[in-house]
This record gives sequence, structure tokens and C-alpha cells, in this order.
Amino acid sequence: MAGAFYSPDPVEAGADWRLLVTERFLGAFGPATSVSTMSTLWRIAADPALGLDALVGAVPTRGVAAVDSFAIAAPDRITTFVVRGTGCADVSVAGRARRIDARGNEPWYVAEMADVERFALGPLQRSPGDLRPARADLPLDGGVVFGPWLGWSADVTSGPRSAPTPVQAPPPLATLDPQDTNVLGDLGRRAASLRRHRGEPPATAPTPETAVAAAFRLGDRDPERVDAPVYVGRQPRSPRVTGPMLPRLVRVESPSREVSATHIELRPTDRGLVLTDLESTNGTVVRQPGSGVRRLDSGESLQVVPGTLIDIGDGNVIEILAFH
Amino acid sequence: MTEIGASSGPRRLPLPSGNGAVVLSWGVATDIGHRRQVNEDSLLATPPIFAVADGMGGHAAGDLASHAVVTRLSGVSHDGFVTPAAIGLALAQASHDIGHLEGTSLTGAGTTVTGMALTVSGEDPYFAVFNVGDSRVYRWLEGEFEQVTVDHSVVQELVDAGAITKRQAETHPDSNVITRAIGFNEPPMPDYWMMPVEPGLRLLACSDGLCKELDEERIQSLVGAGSPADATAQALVHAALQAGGRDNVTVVVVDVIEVEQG
Repeated sequence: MAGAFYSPDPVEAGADWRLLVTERFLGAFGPATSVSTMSTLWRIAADPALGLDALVGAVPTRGVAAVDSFAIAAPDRITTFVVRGTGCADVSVAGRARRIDARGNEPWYVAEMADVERFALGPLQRSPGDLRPARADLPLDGGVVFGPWLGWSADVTSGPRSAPTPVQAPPPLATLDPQDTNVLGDLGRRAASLRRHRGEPPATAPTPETAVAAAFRLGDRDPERVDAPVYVGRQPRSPRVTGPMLPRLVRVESPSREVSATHIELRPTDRGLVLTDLESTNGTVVRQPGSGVRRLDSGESLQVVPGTLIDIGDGNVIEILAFH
Repeated sequence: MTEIGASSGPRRLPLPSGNGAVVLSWGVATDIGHRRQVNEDSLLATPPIFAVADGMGGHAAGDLASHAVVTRLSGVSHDGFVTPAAIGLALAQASHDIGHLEGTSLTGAGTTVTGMALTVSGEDPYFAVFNVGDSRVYRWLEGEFEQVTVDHSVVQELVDAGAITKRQAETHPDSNVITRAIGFNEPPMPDYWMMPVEPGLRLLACSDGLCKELDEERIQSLVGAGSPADATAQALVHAALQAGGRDNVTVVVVDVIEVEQG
């Protein structure tokens, strides 16, 4: 994730926290967290079919592998923080810093904050400072490393420096069988993912996460990244969705009612976005780069690439974007 | 039985953006029924969440399980609405709580949960309907009545597979076997449905003590009878008791009175 950074300064042996960064999550886990637990958590955190609830639910809270302290963050328009034990999050909102800690809440404490500018995850003992990256801090786009704390800042983007080689190389994303990949968000996929992550031994070949993310832009509105199924229409509803996130509903104006109540779906997959016409009344017109204009059949699905334009009627055009 | 919140007349709930509001009123009712020793259902009726949970497990463990899930859900609110991640996290917390209940390690304890939460997508208000298990949410708008949730049950899977009809399902011997729950040491796996908050919309969440006693036509006639939410909730429970009351029965009815556009 862009914006993440940490201090490589060595602290006393055995006191380093395990710091995890993926596309969607940041986490700092207490020094007692085992390598195999970190492997499991990495795989769950890097799997787009699984959400914050699955990641947090996978942290063992009892038994020999119990993780007594952690702090996890899911940055978004509203950022969710989950803290346990002596894990805490120092968060800057509108220039003011505040500390989120568990205060003994079991199994963890959840806080949600809008317009987060910066935060740091780590142990309570740490002094928050000003939460800005220092000169010696290193960016971390993804992986698992050791360090005293993990920072994130909205105004830091990935610099030219590449991320350091992780101390513990992230294991590769589990390969999915072909029948599985097209049912993202489906119960079977999610259950299979959880089972696989919990049971599989750590893999050894290091492969950085290169998940393809995509986005869309409706007319002159701001671009939006797609991390949950999106339903666009005049008065959209979603069908049944089993997945990490609530669906995103996008309402468009359609004075002449050309646009159906729920007209199209955009669904994120490992390989990009899949567009489906939801049996709309007036159809969906698609212009793919290099392949001209075509009309989707009612209910038809299509893999879309960046640059695709989708016309659902009444002047509502959706542009598909690559996510940077 | 844990009851968080109570029936309420019209209440104005401002949107987080400050532009506009939704006005809801709601009614709740529950009864132990004629056959059971304990009411293991629980309910929650405090905006932004309305939910019904039907606990399972011996020695009142089911009561504690349904208590855990409505208690965790009651803590979920950001500016009066819920965020996309919040329901899943609350259910994960409840699952942890249930796993730590004393004396349930051998038999296991768990609960269904279903309901609706006010959320915002862009600037517009929506209900996020969520479900784990075989409690149900029904939707009524302008005379149209439909079941929103899909049961996580063996008979529902048989219906989906085309092996039996919906009507056969109502009397199937396995009608009480569910395939997903909160608890039993399994990670929660909720289904979600999103729908716009529209004036005139009425949502009903109920435990299976209602829909096993009353067929869909009967539920529809009571929901569409034009009574206020509170009276409708009472009437539904009363009808279920008259029809046999073999299980605990719990209902929450939510009415959208008005949507003020920003």
C-alpha cells in the first residue's frame, strides 16, 4: 500500500513487532507472534476475497499461538482500526493526534475514523511523535518486516526507493483453480480461502504481491477504486453478496428512465473487472479500446480493460481505469 | 432473551454528510411460545441496526449466544450509520464471545442473526440487509411483498438444487438443520443485500418461530394490513402463537416514514 513506512532502527532483541502491509491492510503484531501465524495472516490479508473481519478473526486469541497484542488498520474513506492488548494506533485527524487503545476490551477494540491524515501502529509504550515519516524511515509497499512501529501517511506516495527486502519474504498467493477464480465473493471461494490459509504450510518462494486493481469514473465524478461489487442504476439494489465488503451502490440521474433501477454490475476479480448487464431494459453499450462499439446482450458479462467506456443511457457514461 | 431497544414512533436520523435525513419508526415483539422453557431469541432495535437472533445450544447457551450477537451489533455506529466493514467485525467479535462461553465446549453454542443496518453509499442512504442462518428479512413496498434473505439451511439447498419445491420445504423433516451460524467455532459468513431507503418501505426481520407457523400469504396480509410498525409486530407474534407457537417467536418491523433529500 502506498503511504506505508517504518523505521528500520534496531531495537532490543526480541522486542521488534511484526509489521504487515498489503494493498488493503496494515498491521503491527506483538513480538510473541510466531512466523507461521504471520504467514497465515499474510495470505488472508493479501486475498481479495477476504476482508478485515476474516483477517482479524484469524488472529489466534488463545492457546499457545495466542497473539496478545496487535493493531490493524484498513485505510479507506472511513478508516477502521482494530487493537488488542498493548497494541495501539496513534491517529492524526485534522491536525490533532489521538490514541486508540484496547483498554482491556476483549477480544479487541474497534474504532472508525473519517479523514485520517496519518497514523502509526505499534506498542503502547511508544511515544507517538508527530506521525510524519522521518528521513531515515523506509517506505514499505507490501510485505512482512520487523520493526518498532508501522506508519502510514496520506501524503506519502511510493518514492523512487524500492521497498527493502522483507526479513520474512511474503509467501506467494495461493494459486486458485480455474473454476474458483470467477466466483469472487462467493461463499465457496471464501470458505475455501480460509481453510487453505489456515491449513497450508508456509510456502518458500518469495513473490511480491502484484494484485491487479481497477477503478471507474462516472461522468465528471471522482474516480473510484473497485474493491467490492459495484451496482449502478437509477435506484440500485444489490443481489445477495457474500464477501468482505458491503456492495457499493451508485445512483445516477435518468430523467427519461432509460437507465434501469439496477442496470450493471462491476465485479472485481484477480484479473481485473467484470462488467455484467443486469438484464437492463434498454441495454448497455460498450466501447473497448481497439475493438469498436458493441451492445451487451441482456445479462451478458464481459471482462473490461482500462480505457473501456460503458454507456448505460441518459448520458451516463462510465470509464474504466487502471488503479495507480 | 435480550432485548436492546424498544418500539418507537417516527425518529429523524440525520445523514452523516449533514445533508438530509431519514425518518424511521419501528416496532418489536417477542414471545417464548407455548412449548419452550427458555426464550433463546434476542433482538436489537436501536438505529442504525435492527436485528433478530435465534440462539441454539443446550443449558441456555443459545440464550447467551443470541445475547452476544445483539450486544456486539449494538456497539456498531459511525455518525449514526454503519460502515461496510463494521457488521462483519461485530459478528467476528460475537463469534469470539460465543467461543468463550463456559460449559459449551462439548455441545457448542451458536445463533442465527438477520437484520438491517442503515448505511451510506456515496451520499445516499441504503439498508444493508445481512443474514447468517434461517431467520429472515421480508420486504414490503407499494403492495409488493418478497423474502429478501435466503436461508442457510439444508432444505433451502434442496430447493436451490431443484430437489424439492418451496412448499415441500415447509414440511420437510430437516427443516431445522441450518448450514451457517455465528458460533460453533466457525468464522461468520454473512450474506448481504443492499436496497435504497425509500418512503413507504417496510422491512420485517423475524426468527423462524414466525415463518414456520405462518405461511407467506398470512405474513404478507398482516404486514400489508396498514397498521403501524408496533401494532404489526404484536399482530404477527399473536398470529404465530395462535397457529401453534411451537418455538420462540421474535419480530422487528421497520418503516421508512420519510426520506429528506439533501
